[in-house]
Amino acid sequence: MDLRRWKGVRFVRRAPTRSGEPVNLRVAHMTVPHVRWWHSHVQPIIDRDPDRVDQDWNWLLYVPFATVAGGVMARQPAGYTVGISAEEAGHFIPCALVQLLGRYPALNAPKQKGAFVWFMSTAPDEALLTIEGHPLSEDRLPKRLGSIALDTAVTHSFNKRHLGRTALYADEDGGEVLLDWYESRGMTALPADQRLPRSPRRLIKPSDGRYCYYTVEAAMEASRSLDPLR
Amino acid sequence: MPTPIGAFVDIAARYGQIDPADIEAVQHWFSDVLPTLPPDTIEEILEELLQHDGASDDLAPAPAYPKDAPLPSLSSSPPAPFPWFASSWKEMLVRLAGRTKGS
Repeated sequence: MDLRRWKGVRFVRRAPTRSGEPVNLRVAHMTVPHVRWWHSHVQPIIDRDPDRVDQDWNWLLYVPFATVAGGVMARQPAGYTVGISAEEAGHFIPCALVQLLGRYPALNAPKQKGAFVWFMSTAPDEALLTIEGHPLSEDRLPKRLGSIALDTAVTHSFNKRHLGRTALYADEDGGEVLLDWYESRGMTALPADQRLPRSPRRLIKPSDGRYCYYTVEAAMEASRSLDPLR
Repeated sequence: MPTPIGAFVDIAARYGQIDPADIEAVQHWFSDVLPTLPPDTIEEILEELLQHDGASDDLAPAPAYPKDAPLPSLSSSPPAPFPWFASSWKEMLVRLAGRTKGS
């Protein structure tokens, strides 16, 4: 019997690499130094790639909602940084950022609450291969960063007793590829003819078939699939 | 498309009298000044940003990247906490020992 809905879940602590030896990760609360480094080193590389849906994002604008008053605000915003734990050098190398609203109406059960991913981004390989003073080799790059970032939001939902309910909007710039990717992770796309729960998004960005959500069962399944990395 | 940059710029201009063309000043206002505002104001700003969530962006100024931001340290990035019962037995003992030591 899976007790994670009652016990909560620990965050991922390692990622597979091409070398076969896993790399140690740490999931930390997002801080200004994390996003300052990201905006200095990672975002310029993302911004050069027109195919990235996170092109021109600015985490320095998003971070205060992760660092302040999260617990007392109605939406309970939270931010996490997934980083490589470089023990010997004492460095924490951000490789994914996740900003979410911790208390948002669940798309498939509006009377229930869940997490809604507001912004989520992973570092391109080039950014991790060119870190001044700490370049990583290709065979030590963490794999499955997208799944791990998404799992961070699902884990947050479990740990806040929302049973893993997590939703997001698959940016239209990501096309079918992005939508397919979320569905391959076990999410369900809300049909275009089904209204969003009452929220600011309902008017400005109504349901169009690109809102995705985890049911409780699917969140459990997705969370279990990453257990070997926790 | 999540909340567009232009919505953040507009907030900084209205709440902080920041020049909307100066993206570095806007960044500074959000990362350093906004956290010092009263929680009610921060909440109001968040709700206002969410009103624009999903809108297209037509006001975004060109990005400005900070120079020479150092890599964060492990010591200043502690692991995010997770519920007590999700720990292994070994971790529970360590946590318990830490709590006893601290009391």
